[in-house]
Amino acid sequence: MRKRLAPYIILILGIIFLIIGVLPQYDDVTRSRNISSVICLSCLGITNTTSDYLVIDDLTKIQYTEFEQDITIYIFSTETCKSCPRVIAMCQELARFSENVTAIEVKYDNDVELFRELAAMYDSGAESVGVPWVVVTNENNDYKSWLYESYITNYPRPDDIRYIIQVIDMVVELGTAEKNE
Amino acid sequence: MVTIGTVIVLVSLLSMITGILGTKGYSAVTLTMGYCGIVLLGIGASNILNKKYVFFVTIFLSSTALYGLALVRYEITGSKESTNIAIWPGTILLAIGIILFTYIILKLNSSLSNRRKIYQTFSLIMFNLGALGIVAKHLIAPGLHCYACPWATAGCPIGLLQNWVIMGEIPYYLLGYFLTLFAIVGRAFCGWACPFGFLHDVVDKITNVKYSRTNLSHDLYRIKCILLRKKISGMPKKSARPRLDHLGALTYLTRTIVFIALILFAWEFVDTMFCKLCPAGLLEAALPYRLSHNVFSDTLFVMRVVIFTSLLLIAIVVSRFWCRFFCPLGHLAGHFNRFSLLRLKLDESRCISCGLCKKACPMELSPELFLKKQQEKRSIPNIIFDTINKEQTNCTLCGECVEACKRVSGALTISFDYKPQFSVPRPQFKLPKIKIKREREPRIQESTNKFTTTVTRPAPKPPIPKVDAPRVHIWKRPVYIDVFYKSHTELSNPIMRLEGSSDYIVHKHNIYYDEKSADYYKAVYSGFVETPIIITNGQLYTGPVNNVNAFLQFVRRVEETYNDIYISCNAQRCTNICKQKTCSNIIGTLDIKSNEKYPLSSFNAKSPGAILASCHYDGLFALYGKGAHVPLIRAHHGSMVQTPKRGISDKNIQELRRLPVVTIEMFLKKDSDISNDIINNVLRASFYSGGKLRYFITEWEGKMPEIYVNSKKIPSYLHPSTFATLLFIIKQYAK
Repeated sequence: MRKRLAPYIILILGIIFLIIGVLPQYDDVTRSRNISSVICLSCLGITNTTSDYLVIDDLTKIQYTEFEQDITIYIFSTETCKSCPRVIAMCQELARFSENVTAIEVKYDNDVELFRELAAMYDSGAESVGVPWVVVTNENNDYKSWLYESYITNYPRPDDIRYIIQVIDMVVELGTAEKNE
Repeated sequence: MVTIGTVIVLVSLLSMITGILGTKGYSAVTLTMGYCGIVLLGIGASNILNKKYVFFVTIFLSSTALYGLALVRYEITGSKESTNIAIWPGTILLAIGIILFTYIILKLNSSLSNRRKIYQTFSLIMFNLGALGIVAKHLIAPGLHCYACPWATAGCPIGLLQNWVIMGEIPYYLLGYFLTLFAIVGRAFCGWACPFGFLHDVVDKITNVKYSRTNLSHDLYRIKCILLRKKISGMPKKSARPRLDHLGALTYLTRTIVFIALILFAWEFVDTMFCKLCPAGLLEAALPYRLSHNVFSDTLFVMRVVIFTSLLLIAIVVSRFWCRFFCPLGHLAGHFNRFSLLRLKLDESRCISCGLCKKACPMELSPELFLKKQQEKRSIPNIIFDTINKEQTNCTLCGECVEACKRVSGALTISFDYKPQFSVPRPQFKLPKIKIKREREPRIQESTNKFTTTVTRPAPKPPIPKVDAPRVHIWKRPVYIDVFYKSHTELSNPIMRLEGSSDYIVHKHNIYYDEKSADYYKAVYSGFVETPIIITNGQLYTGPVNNVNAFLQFVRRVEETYNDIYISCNAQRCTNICKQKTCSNIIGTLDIKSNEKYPLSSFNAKSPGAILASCHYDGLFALYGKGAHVPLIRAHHGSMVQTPKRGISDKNIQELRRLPVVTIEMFLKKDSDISNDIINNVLRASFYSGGKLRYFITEWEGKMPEIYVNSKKIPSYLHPSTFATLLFIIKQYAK
């Protein structure tokens, strides 16, 4: 083999791999779009994947009582999000403790349009949202989402369960205030 | 071109305002179309105004306007949703736009360095089209640009690679992308497209402080000695030329470690660990995100800031520090530098080992060294452990070395080598044997006595006949070659071989040892860096020194021009005024008579200009065509003779000596007074310029002569029938 044939062999190999990657059974193109489209907070070093899973302690359990209103937690995630499973598990645990709380996972890979619509509804550009992103809503569709409540500084890492509870409390307070009015 | 460009730009602007072509008004179609229109507009405008910078100004202003309008439109619509461009049509359109722009940039008549800057700016815009809401995240960016950046158009290849490692699958698409990109351009995208590389270039440009490779090499050696407790006395001197493999091997090692670590960490921690520390990611994604969301207090973030800041600080003194020592993408691509279609090439015969390429290289490589060694080893090298390859993996094909080399010898080039070379198979059939009758050589009588003391010497080989210089043409007069050179190595080119023939008379001038030559060189050719300088029959040869055929073609063209030039003498002036006989050397024994025309072969001169200039009183003059009537006949009113006005002062001569290389092509009618006036001026000016003003004459039947200076046509009212006009034309048209 002469040296000048090498680039052509590499090029042909590359094109073959590209074609294989585009094939529906692999569908690497869609997967790379899904990976790149939504900001990965883990990649930015904001969320943590390596720390231990936080379990609700007894004191928190007492504080976390039955609510008079239904609370829905939307967890925006993607398939390749590294810290999403941890947050989803936390929210599911919260839902397990209370009957009024429902946790819904909105996965980008499953339904891009739904993900975009919901993200746009809760005041965030679809692609500017970082995953995992949690939105807590009540019956009146009042909502709070983490990372946007900058005044809460007690829990710098948003993947802390106490942080989510605090956000839920805020939403409940909003709903209660509206009812009283 | 301007009209088409304007129409396209207007349509795209209209579309942006009304949203005809895209739902949001800032679709990929609109923007790509707008950019194509801008490029056309720029080229047209610069052609009309004949100013190169107009192109850049037009591009910049129009791009800013388009970008600004798109942003305004974006704000007006108020939508924060970005528009994913349709996968295949959008991608094809984007690709066509990029290829078109690349082609135009490569064809621009500007320096490689300028073209690179334009392309880097263009890439920066293309990488951040997400700011306009245009995203094509199914594509992979050829550079280190974080996909978590809110403005990112495409995905980061390293981020995607880590994700695939985490998934534990074969990344076919990514692998295909890598192989295709690297096979075509090698590591060139680092120097031409990567935004993080562009940042390093900007830092380099702003600070302009460079820590030389020698010093770096020296200090690394010092650290090594201290660590190993060795004697530092054996340390190489700072001025010593560093070994090829010294720094190249180190950078290769660090990059390999980073690459392996990123794969292993992604596998082990099931997370994109490299991204958490990536300085490009900090700048493009983490910093904007954290600033917009007020999240600061994080150890990891502080660590990233420290890494980025220190990297930037080191980049001030060590150019392209990240790219050389850490970039994993560049590390992968660097291995393909040897094989890629776009490659750096060295013409060894032209290389004079001046070391300018090394000085110019931002990666502080020695392209000359590694290319020479590579050419010595023709076989496929060991990709990983080959020392030369390690050095070459750092080359980003930025072209700075090519620019530097162009000023001296032009040995280095960057080009697409797209013609495959197939090895020629050996013929399977046997050629029929041809019996050649040989004349029997007379046998030397062998002595029967084995122990004889007389040794019969073999017959001496006939001396190899001297190969004469190629006699392509038999010249009517000898070809005079003047060579100004610095060292004897410059005289080893094939043109010097012509000296062996009687048709060629070669005068060699060493500008270091010959004072007279040095003075003349300083006065006339001081602007030239490249030597040898070859002047043939009074005209400067600027073609390749190693190509004899090109040289002979040049000589033939000059001689064809000279064939129709005749010299005549204004006998009245000659006999009445001149007492100095400055022309005696040139005229020799020729008995010059007035009203007679003599061909150039009658004179002992290198060029007709030299003949004319030998007479200080305009006694000699040139005629184009044998049938031209001699101006002497038109003499009237006493002693003064009507001759063409040629007031060449000393100041004019100085101006002519400072000229750049200018080529005048004249289409003249034979035996015409205007033609005679023109050539008399041009021949003299060429002589005084030391041959830098080159001229070629072609016979022309038209009434008025046509003249081209550096291929630019001169208007008919500016014919150089006077010397002042000639100077004006050269100044105006030979820029």
